[in-house]
Amino acid sequence: MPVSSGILGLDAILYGGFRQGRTMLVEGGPGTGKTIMGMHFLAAHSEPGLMLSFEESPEKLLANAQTLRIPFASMAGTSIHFIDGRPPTDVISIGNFDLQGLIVSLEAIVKQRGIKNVMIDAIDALFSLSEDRSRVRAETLRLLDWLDNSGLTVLLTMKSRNDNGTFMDEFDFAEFSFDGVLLLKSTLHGKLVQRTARVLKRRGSPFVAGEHPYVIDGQGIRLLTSPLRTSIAESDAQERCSTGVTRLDRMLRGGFLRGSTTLFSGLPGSSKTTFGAAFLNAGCEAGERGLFIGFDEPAEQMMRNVLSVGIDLRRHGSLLRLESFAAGAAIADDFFLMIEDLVAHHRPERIVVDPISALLKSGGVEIAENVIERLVNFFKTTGLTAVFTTVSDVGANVAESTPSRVSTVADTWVHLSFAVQGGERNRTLTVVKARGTGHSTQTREVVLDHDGITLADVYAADGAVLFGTARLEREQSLRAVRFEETRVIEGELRQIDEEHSTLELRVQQLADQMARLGLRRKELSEHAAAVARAATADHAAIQSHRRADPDNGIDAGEHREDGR
Amino acid sequence: MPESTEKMDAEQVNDIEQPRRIQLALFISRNSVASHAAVKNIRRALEKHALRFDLEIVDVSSDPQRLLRERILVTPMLIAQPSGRRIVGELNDAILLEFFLQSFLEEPRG
Repeated sequence: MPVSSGILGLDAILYGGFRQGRTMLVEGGPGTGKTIMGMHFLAAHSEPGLMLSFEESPEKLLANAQTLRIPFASMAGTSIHFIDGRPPTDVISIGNFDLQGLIVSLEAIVKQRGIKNVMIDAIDALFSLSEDRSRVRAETLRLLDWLDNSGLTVLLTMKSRNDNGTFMDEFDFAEFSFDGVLLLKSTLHGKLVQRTARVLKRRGSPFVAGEHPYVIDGQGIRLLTSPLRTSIAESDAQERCSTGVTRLDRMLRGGFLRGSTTLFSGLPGSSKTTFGAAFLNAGCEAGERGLFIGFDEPAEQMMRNVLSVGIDLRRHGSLLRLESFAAGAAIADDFFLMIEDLVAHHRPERIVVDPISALLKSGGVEIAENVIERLVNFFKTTGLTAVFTTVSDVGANVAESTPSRVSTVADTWVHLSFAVQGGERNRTLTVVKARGTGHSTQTREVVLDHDGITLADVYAADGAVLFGTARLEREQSLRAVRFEETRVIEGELRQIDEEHSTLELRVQQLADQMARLGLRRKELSEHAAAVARAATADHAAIQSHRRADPDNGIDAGEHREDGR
Repeated sequence: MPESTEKMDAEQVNDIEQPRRIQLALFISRNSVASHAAVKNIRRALEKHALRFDLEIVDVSSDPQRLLRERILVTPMLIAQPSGRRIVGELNDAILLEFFLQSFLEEPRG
């Protein structure tokens, strides 16, 4: 009978757990959760357990355990016992020694308390006992032998492995037959850490090979359990559920297949989120529970946005749950577990993840694709009808910028884009594929107004309906090129418009300036005329007064300058 | 006899004419070569300090509770009281061992 490790996912990859009466070695660097793994193990059993740590005091272990939702701390003293195995720091060593003291202590406490399971933490700390490493090694092997003969089920941890994955000589216990060796690893992806567990070898027992992502959170260690191999619980495979858009339901012969996954791809602003909201809205109207996971914008903002096209999500109350996350803040594995938790808690029939491509920011393409695949399988096995949206980046290499495998794992793929005709930019919709559905392959125009989403037929300039099935893949890339061209033309048009309006402004300014000059000129001319008139009058008066000859006055030059 | 069981009252320690005796406990395991060597080595070293040290030899299997209490993982282990200072191993370096013992005699105690 296997002995549960206390971690669901670990039991799954070990086919039930540890082998009873044997020692399992767990290796990993600092912060990979080796000690927490031991806490899970001991706390999972009502039979008495023993925690022997060579690194941390019982007090510190208990304090750490209290931050986790593992009953380890509350079981301490009743069914979980401790040996403080920290080597004294000030110890002087002269000559040979043995671990007989420890073995006698172990024997005593095992007998006295009826211990069945043992966690030995940080056996590598024993090496601080002496510089004579071969001596420590020989004694450690003696301890391992004693454990092996004791009938105890032991989890032994060690931080020992070099970066290149080879043992340091002193730590190579290859001659000792462990039940198995479990390797814990943490890898940096950008600024995010991904942790993985891998069974290195196991004697005589099966295990699931490969690296299994896990997460350490308030619940302790959690492996991503959702199997990568698909196992669909096909209950009523032909049941349809409404997409929330009447015409789309008709195109898909009644809507999405229940329990299927649909992908809406498209450029930013191509109304992907609105389709997701319509899908949830239709579900809630039929009394189904819905869950919205948003990575792009706060849920409140999304609700406000779709309200403008007549989709009121507020009225569904507790039927609908909306959550938003910052994709760059955690590794995609974390989000998988968060979504798994939310599904377990809210028990929705419909789920929308908007946009799933945001997970690319959570550790890179490889991790994102792995998690998306797990999500699809998780939704399938739980019978959830799911809608993913994904942002397709025109201009960039589509295969590199979007999790390309989403489109293959999704049952239905709807592509949203824009068609530019006669100076108008219209949204379009194409059903690229719909597994198990005789669907319409025609492109439709998407019309958004206060009544929600409606679809209209769309025709190209020559009157033919767009896109034949055989040309779909080529059309995808053609469309990308066309949009790129359109973007360039639009950019140029914008530039011309800007230049035009700049010039217009300058013309306006120049006209204003000319008008001002004209005005000023008129004022000055009038003023000059007035001055001239006055001068003439004065001159006449003086002349008549002096009885002088005409045009003989000394002031005449002044008048000429001003007046003429 | 180095393995004296004579006990001193703590109050008498202040007497300058009769310096306090240091309590040594050597934890051993019966079937260990290193433990037997340690017993031999500590006895020899204490011959010239008979007046200043008491030695108690404890077989680890005789008192497991005390082992747990005093955190004796490794044998042989020599513990000096009241300082609690520890020395591990078969004590086969006479100079180092003498150095260890001298450290108690030179220290002013109080």
